[in-house]
Amino acid sequence: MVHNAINESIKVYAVYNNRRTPFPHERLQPVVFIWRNHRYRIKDITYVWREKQGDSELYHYAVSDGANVYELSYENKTFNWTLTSISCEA
Amino acid sequence: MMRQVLHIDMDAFFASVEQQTFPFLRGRPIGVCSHPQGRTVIATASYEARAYGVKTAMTIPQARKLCPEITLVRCNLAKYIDTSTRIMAICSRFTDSVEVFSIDEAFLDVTNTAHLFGGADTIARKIKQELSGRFGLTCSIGIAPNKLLAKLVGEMHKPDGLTIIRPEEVPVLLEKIIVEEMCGIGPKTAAKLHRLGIKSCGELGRYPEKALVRIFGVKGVHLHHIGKGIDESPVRPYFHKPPAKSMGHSMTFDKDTRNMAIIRHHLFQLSEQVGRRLRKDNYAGRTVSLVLRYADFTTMVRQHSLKNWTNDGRRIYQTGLALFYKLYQPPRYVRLIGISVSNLIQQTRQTSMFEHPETLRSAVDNLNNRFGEFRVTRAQNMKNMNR
Repeated sequence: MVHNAINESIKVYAVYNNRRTPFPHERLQPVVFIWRNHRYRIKDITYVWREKQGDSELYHYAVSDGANVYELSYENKTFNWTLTSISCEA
Repeated sequence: MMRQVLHIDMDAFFASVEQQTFPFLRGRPIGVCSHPQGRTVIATASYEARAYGVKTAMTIPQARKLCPEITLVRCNLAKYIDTSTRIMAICSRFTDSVEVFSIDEAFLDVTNTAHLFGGADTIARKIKQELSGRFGLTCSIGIAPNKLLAKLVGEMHKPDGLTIIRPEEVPVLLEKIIVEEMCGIGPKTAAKLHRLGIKSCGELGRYPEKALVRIFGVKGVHLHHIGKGIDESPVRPYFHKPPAKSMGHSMTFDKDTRNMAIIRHHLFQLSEQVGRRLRKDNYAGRTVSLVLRYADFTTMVRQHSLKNWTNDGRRIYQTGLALFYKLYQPPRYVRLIGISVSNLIQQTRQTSMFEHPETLRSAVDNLNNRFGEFRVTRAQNMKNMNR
């Protein structure tokens, strides 16, 4: 597996679904993201998790465009999205 | 009413989570470890890697020798903790008696709620279905009249198993189970039992209780109960957390070292982490223990009891450092260092016995709670972190 750390701010189009869950990160679903002027359509959200960072929370989304797995992170205080890393098969 | 206890054990938890995160790892041998390029051990191996003989706690070279194509993935504790929290929330929908046994194991007492959901086996199937749908993960579940037997039968059919044992089937099962397989019987106790001619749990149950007490002391009563398949311990809900006995942290160096500055730096960081955890849960402790593992894996432990209770990282560090100098045999290389504090009391408020004012530490903790770990730290630590 090849794993590249990116940590760049990105623009994300996401939807809030109306699923009944006490976990807010399960309700937010990124659909498309734009990184370095390139638009990536998300085909699959492969995993979702949440992490506390100080008094804010980071929602992490491992998403796939069919080729690579991108880790997108959303900070719930600042509403900022970050492309954390890109992973692909070796 | 007969008790109905479920034991839920996630299958190769860390590895399965990573295989879900990275679809190209599914069906492949993987090992999760803290530093894939470093010298740590395998925390969890996927079932594909286990087929090659790769096991938990194996070193990376050992794992690579058995399975050259193994993919090593860096562990992501935040991901596993969050998944575990959500799994426990699912379990809590079926009963309020959920005991978190470890990050990937839980006991559920469904005696009073099973009828609401169509029986204990239906609950087990619903949990399996939900975990598979939400996370793509599988688990193995054992259903039995107590925790001891639920854990035993849950581990009989892995992965993705569901095993139910009824009270009338217990004696036959215990005849087939060797004592090592029972939770609560370690290798040393098992060896001692073997010397008494006891191999199976059935034999242990038939062995006179008085004789077991004579040999093992009070533990003999517990062993007798294990042999009979008796366990009356309740399922302790996670919100009834038992008091901690000790708190500690350890770390393996990237490479073996005898550089005192590096050792002191890591010992300081570990001590600060221990102090912070103690303060977070309102504990203070008196006994500081230091663990030192050399490059040849010989491990030494030494402890010191303080006059007063403390939860101050600096005090823990100073005690730990003094223990280190007593224990360390130059010029040997050190592989791992760990520090823990035991002999704990829970405080209602901090007393004035500490070197620094309580308000200072409290303010530092609040800042770190808000902005993240080690955002505000002692200058000594900053200097080392910038190296």
